[in-house]
Amino acid sequence: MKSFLQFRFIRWSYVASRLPILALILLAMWLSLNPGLRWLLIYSGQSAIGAKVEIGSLQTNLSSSRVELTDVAVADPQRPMSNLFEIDSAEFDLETAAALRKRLVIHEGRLSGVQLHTQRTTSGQLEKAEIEETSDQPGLSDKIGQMGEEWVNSTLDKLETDVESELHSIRLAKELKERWPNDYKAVERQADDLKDRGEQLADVIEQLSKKPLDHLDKIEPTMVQLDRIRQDGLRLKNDLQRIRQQVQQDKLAIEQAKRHDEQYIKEKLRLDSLDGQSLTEYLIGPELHERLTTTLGWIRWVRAMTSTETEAQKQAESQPRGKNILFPGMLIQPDVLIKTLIVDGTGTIDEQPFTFLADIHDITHQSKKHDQPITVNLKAQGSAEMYAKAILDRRGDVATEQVLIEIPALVQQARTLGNPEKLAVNVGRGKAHIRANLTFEDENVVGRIEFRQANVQMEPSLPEAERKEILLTDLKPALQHVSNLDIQADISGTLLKPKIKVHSNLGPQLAAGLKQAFQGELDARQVQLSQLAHQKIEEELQQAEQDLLTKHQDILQKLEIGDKELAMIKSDITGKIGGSDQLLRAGQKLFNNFRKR
Amino acid sequence: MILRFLQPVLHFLKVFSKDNSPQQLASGLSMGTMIGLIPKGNLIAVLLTIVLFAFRFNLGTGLLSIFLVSMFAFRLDPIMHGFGERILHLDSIYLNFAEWHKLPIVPWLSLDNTVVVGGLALGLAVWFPVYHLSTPLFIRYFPPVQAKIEKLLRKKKAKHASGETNEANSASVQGARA
Repeated sequence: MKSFLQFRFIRWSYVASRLPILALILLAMWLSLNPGLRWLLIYSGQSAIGAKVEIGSLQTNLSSSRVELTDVAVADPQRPMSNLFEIDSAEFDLETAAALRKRLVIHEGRLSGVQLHTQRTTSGQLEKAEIEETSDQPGLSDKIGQMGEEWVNSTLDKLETDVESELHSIRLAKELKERWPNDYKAVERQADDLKDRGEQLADVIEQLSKKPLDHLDKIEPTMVQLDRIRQDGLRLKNDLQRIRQQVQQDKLAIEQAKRHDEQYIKEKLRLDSLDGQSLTEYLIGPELHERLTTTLGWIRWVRAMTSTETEAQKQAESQPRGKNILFPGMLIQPDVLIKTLIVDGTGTIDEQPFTFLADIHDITHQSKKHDQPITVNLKAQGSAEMYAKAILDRRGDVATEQVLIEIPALVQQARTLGNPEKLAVNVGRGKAHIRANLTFEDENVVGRIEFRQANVQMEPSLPEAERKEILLTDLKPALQHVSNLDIQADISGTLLKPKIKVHSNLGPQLAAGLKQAFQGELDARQVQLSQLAHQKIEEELQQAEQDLLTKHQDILQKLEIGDKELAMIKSDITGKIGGSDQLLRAGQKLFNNFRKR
Repeated sequence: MILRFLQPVLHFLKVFSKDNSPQQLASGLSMGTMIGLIPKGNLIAVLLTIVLFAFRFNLGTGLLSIFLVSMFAFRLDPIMHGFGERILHLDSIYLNFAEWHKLPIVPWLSLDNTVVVGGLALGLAVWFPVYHLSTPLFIRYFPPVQAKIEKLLRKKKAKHASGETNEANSASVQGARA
C-alpha cells in the first residue's frame, strides 16, 4: 500500500487536496442547482418568447428526479401589460435513465392553474426589446364585407339624391320662360319703333296739309316711307306668327324632355341587385375576421414555439462537428422529449369564464427524431364547453397541423352584426354550436368553420339619420321568419393572407327584405318625382303662356290699327293726288290717330 | 506597475516551475495536444482533463497546448471525421461501442461521434511522437527559460517579502511610539 502511494507519477498531494474542493464544488452545484436552473429557464424562455418570463420558485429533487415550479408568468410580447399565460404550479417527472444516456425525457409534466391572458402590474417588455410592429395584415380578409357595405351606402345615397335638379324638362321650362318674353319684347320694340316712325310721318303729313303746294316735292318720299312702314308692319306680324309657332314647338320639346326625364328617374333610382352573399360578408365578416385573426395568431405562436430549429440550431446543424453513428439496436431519439404534459386552467370567452383540461403528448423540438407527432386533446367546461384535438406534425419536411374544435353550446351574448352606424342586425342572446376543422400545411391553410345559433331573435336596424323615408317596420319582416343563424366559413389561402368565403342564411333573407323595403321607397320616389316635374313645368309655363297671349294680342292690335290707317292714307294719296283737302283731312286723321296712342 | 500588470502571467509561470522535468513537460504537451484535438462538451474531454490535473504532467505545457491546439483543431475536423468513421466502421469497435453505448453514462462519452473518436485516435496517435520529439527540445531549450522564470519569481518573492518586512517594521515603530 505504501509503495503504491509512493508511486510518484500520480500527483497524490494534488488529488488529495482537490478532493475536498471537488466535494465543495459538487455541494455548490447542488446548492446552486435550483437558482441556476431557474435562471436558465428564465433566460431561455425570454429568448424564445421575446418577453419577460417570471418563475416564483423552482425546486429540484434529484433522488426522485422531479422538478417543481410555482408562480410562472409569461408576458405577452405584443401587449406588455398582459401575460400570455400564468401557471400556479408546474411539476415534471424526469427519467433518470434517459438523463444518464444524454437525453432529457420528462415522463409526465403537469401544469396546474393555467390562466390565459391575465393582466400584469408591471410591464412584461424586456429591456432593449421593442414591441414588434404588428402588421394589421391587410390581406387578411380585408375585402370581406366591402361589397355589402357598398350596396348599403349606395342605396342610402340614392334616397338622398337630388334628382330634381337634374331633370331636363324642368330646366327647359325655366329656359323657355325666360326666352319667350324676350322674343316678344324684341317684336314689341320693333312695333314701338314703327309707332315712332308713324308719328314722324304724321308730322310730315300735318305740314303737308297746312301748305300742300309748298311741299309738293315731299309727297313722293312720304308715299315711299308710308309703304315701308306698312311692309315693316306686315313683317312684324309674320314674326309674331313665327314666335307663336315656336312656342308650340317648344311645348312639344318639353313633352319630349318629360318623357326622357321619366326614364332618367327610373334609371337613377333603380336598385342594384344585392346578392345575399355580399350582405352576409358585410354582416358577419368583421366578427369572423377578428376571431380568425386570434386563432391564426395562436397557431403562428404555437408554430414559433414548437419550431423544429432555431437559427442557432440550424447553423450548428449545418456545420456539425462530425457525424453521429447510429449503433445497432438504437433508435434515433430526440434530445429533449416531454412524453405527457397535463394542463389544467381557466380562460375566458366573451368575458365568460371556463375551465379546461388538456393533455399534450410527445412534445419535442426535434420532431424529425421522434416517431410520433405532437398531439393535443383539450376539454373545456363552464361557459364554453369545448372539445379540441390538434395534431402538430413536424416529422416531414413540411410542418402540418390539424385542428379540430367542437363547441356544442357556446354562450353568445346579444350582439350587433354589421356597422351600427349604417345597417346592422341585432342578434339576441343564445347558445351556439361551433365546429371547426382546419388543416395547416406549411404556410397554407384550408378548412371550414361552422356556426349555428338556434332559436335566436334577430332584427335589422338602420339609424334614424340613414333611414330617410324607410320605416323600421318595413325592415323588420325581413328577418321575422329566421329563427336560426347558420354560418359556414370556408377558409383557404395562407396563414398571413387567408381567404374566407362566408355562407349564411342571414344574408339572403335580409337582402330580400331590404330589397323589398328599399324598392318600395324608390318606386314611390319615382312617381313623386315625375309628378313634381310635371307640376313644376305647368307652373313655369302656364303663367308665361298667359302673359304671352296678352302681349301677343296687344302687339297685334297695335299693328292692325296702324296697318288700316296706313292703307287708307296711301289710297288717298295715290288716288287723289290733286285733292289736297282730302289729303290734308286724311293726314290730319292719321296724325290724330298716332297722337292719341 | 508593469509587474502588477504581469502578475497573472507570473502566476501562470509558476506552473512551469513544478513538475518541470523535460519528460513531464513533454508528457504535458502530449496530453494537452490530445485534449485540444477532441471536441469539448463530452465526458472524454472532461476525463482527460482530470487525468492531466491528477497526474504529474506539467500543467503549464498541458494547458498551453490545450489552448493552442483547440484554436486550430476544427480545421482538422475532416481528417478526424475520416479517421473516426473508419474506426467506427471496424466491426470489433463498432459492436463493442454499440454494447457500451447502451450502458448508462457511456453516451455522455460521445463515442458515436466520428470527430470525437477520430480526435481521440489522432490524439493517441500523436501522443508518443509529440512526447519523443519534444523531450530533446525541452532538454535543450527549457533550462535557460526555466532560469529566467525562476529569476522572475524570485524577484517577485523578494519584493513581496521586503514589502511585508517594511510593513512589520512600521507597525512595530508605531507600536513602540504608542
